[in-house]
Amino acid sequence: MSFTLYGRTLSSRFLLGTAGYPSPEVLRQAVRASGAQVLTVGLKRTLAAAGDNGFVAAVRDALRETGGQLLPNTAGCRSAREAITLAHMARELYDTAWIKLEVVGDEYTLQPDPWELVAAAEQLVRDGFQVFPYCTDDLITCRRLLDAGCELLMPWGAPIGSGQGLLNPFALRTLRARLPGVPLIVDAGIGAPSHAAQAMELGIDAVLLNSAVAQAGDPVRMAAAFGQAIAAGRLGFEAGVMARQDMAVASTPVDGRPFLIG
Amino acid sequence: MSEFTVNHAPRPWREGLTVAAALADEGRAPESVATALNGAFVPRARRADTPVQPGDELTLIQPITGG
Repeated sequence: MSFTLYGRTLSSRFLLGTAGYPSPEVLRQAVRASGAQVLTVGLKRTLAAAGDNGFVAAVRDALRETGGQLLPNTAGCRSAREAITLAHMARELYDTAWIKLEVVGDEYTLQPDPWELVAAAEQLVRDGFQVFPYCTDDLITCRRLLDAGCELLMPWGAPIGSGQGLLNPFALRTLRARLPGVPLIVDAGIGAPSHAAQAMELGIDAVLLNSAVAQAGDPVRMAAAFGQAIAAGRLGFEAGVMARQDMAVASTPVDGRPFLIG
Repeated sequence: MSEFTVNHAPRPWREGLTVAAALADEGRAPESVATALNGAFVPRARRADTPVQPGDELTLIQPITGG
């Protein structure tokens, strides 16, 4: 069940966001329940040395327990230049070359801007980063990101925080078929464990989500539910889901069966 | 009086001001933030020899949770 991202072998295919939890303790417990080994974090401008009520410390504590890895993001960036600067700042603050590259092109959908995204990815790869590009499910954009030097892709399932699940399974199936061997991580739009399981059954390698756990009635139990759904979906994919049929196909053999009536 | 800005907030500028000095004026520990000047990253090791000019924008960034 293990898989590898930029040379790092992970036993969990669940990448978890750390924003919006009710308390640092709930965050810590949710991470533990999820089994996630990759946790996303962000950056913000701040004038005062303001505390964050211990949330970042909770993330670092959780990572120490799991032996996991931080994945800083460039959330809020609208241009390649902005994202490149923020990525460098993230590398210094978090001491990792991993960067979740987000360059948003539309305020309403928070849809990634493919041109700025590819431009930023090209530069960041040259600067020694290991780029996790948050992208749409467009095949050609994804190819350009691979050409830029990204070793994996993070196509959306639906707009960030919308919880709508996989709006375009066909596109994700197409990515899987056309980009065999490239790690695919569905990022954004997942709302329920069944959505995550569906992605995994399509052959997606991992799932990254945040709001679906943080905004659940019980984030800790939901984290566990997602962990199980992701593992089950992967197992189902590896086991080989049966082919669909339009019409019924009897599961009980009828040949040679005694007829009791008639 | 000449000014520069820190995260868009105006600050008085002085001759010889560097990124490191401006950060100290803000009372921030050097390791607690990352810095950029006019949108360009300034690595920690370069702060002491990076001058701040009147009208410059100094950006200070700190870690937070994120998705």
